[in-house]
Amino acid sequence: MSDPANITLVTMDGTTFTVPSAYLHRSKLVQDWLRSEGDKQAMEVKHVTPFVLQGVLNFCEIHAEDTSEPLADPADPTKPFEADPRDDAFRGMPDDQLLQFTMAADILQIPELVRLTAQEMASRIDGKSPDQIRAMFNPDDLAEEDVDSDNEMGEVGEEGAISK
Amino acid sequence: MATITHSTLPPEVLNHIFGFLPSRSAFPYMMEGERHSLVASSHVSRDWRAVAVPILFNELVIYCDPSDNDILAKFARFLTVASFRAPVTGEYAYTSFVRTFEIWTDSFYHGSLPFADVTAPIINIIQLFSRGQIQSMLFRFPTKCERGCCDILPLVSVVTSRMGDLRRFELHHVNENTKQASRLLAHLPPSLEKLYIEDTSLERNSLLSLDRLFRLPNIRDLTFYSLQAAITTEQLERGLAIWGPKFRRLSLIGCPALADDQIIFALARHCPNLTVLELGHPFEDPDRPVILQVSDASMCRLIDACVRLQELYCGDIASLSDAFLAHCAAHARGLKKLTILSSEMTGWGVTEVHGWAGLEELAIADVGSQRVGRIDKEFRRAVVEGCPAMKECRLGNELVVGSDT
Repeated sequence: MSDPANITLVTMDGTTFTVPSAYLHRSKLVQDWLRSEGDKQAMEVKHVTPFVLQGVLNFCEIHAEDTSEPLADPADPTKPFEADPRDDAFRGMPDDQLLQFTMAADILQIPELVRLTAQEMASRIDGKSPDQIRAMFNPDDLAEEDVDSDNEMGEVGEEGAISK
Repeated sequence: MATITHSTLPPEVLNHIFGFLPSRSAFPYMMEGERHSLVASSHVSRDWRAVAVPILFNELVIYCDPSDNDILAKFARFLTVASFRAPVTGEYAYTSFVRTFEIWTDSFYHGSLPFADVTAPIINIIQLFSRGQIQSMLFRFPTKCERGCCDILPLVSVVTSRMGDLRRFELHHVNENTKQASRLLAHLPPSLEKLYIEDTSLERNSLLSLDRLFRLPNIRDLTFYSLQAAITTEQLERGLAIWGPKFRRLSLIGCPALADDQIIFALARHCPNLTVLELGHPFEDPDRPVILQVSDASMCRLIDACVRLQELYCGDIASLSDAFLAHCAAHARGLKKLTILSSEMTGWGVTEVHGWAGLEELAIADVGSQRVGRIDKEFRRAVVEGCPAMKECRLGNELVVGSDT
């Protein structure tokens, strides 16, 4: 049985990370695993690269002693988002890394990190054209007919904007 | 090795991301086109579009301005075509995503346009909704055209046909439209939880019929703003008895006939989970009649019975005195915000404020007076020293805690 005070995470390429379990108390995935399979030696974290997992663990270490209530919903509108200077490294990372961290936060189910990365992605998307967003985050191509269907309304928009 | 690929950003994460984008309703979104982030995001990829479109169209707000009638007509045609094409082509039926629908009309002055041309696009859009689809609706009545030729009945009729599963309904600017407002209110569904009615005409609205409201089972949040004698205290008391522990919020600003001990005692008796109560006059009302029907005894009873009360507003209720303030300061343990507009209260004799340990905002103001030093100094000191959670406190005309900036 593994040391209950620590947890070992294994990425798909076999790289291992052993950290205090307390670091990951906000990860729902890890907490569920500890409850159901905590007697095993290590937890596999599929689809996450060693570089990204290291970054996630850094975030968890920084926030390990935070006393705030766990965030139930990363998009909860009643919980205003306040930038934390300790997270500046995550806000400064390149677009492709930010996308990887957003995915990893979702896989490990860490609501506080999901909120941080989702908010940063939104701030980078805001004001950009679809082409610019594709260049930043490179999702699948969009079928042309989908775009055309509401470009008709885009033409209407040229005649005058209405604001609330 | 498997790594995260760009095509696997899951819908729930996209949902979080789009939730941080500036929020607007669908009509202005579409007017702005790709200048708006959510519209731009909906054009990025199929996956992104599948998440962005439902958010874009969740809330549809129509600002009825005859000068934009051509744009609105084109928008209605766009939605109609999309709805009819969707089952065949697999494209989006945009209106199927609408859950919140608002119609704002400052005026139905329609120039040389026939009035029916102004309302036709709105009627066309509403008819695209399924009957149980809309959960939240706001309808602002227009100021009547000076030519008196505005027949709003067709619009009201189609609105009533889509109220089947409403949870929230707001009716603004009822004024001279009591007949049509009553028609809407007669269709309030049993699912309704929140109702807001505003009338700024300052005339007695005895014709407004609210009989159905007081038979609905699920009301939790009720606002009457400036309704003059449209309902009686007996009717409201019966409603409170039905709504009971579900009831959370009551606002009766500008309804002096309902600011009455009978209502306060009914709240204390039937509604233990009340969190917000607003009654009396609004700050801006210059000709407010004196309210004397709310006693210290009923309000003290309310404080004792409704322990979850978080916000209380008492606007110029002349019959409330420092005796109520003393009881409130000692016992209102759940209170976070207290606003009292009064020329009577000074805080004299109120030094025990341990009930206000969680109070964050306090205002005891008399907007009709510029007197300085009216508030009792011992009360002021007790508040400053005994309310650790206080963020903003204004006593008399003095800002005691907090900042104007």
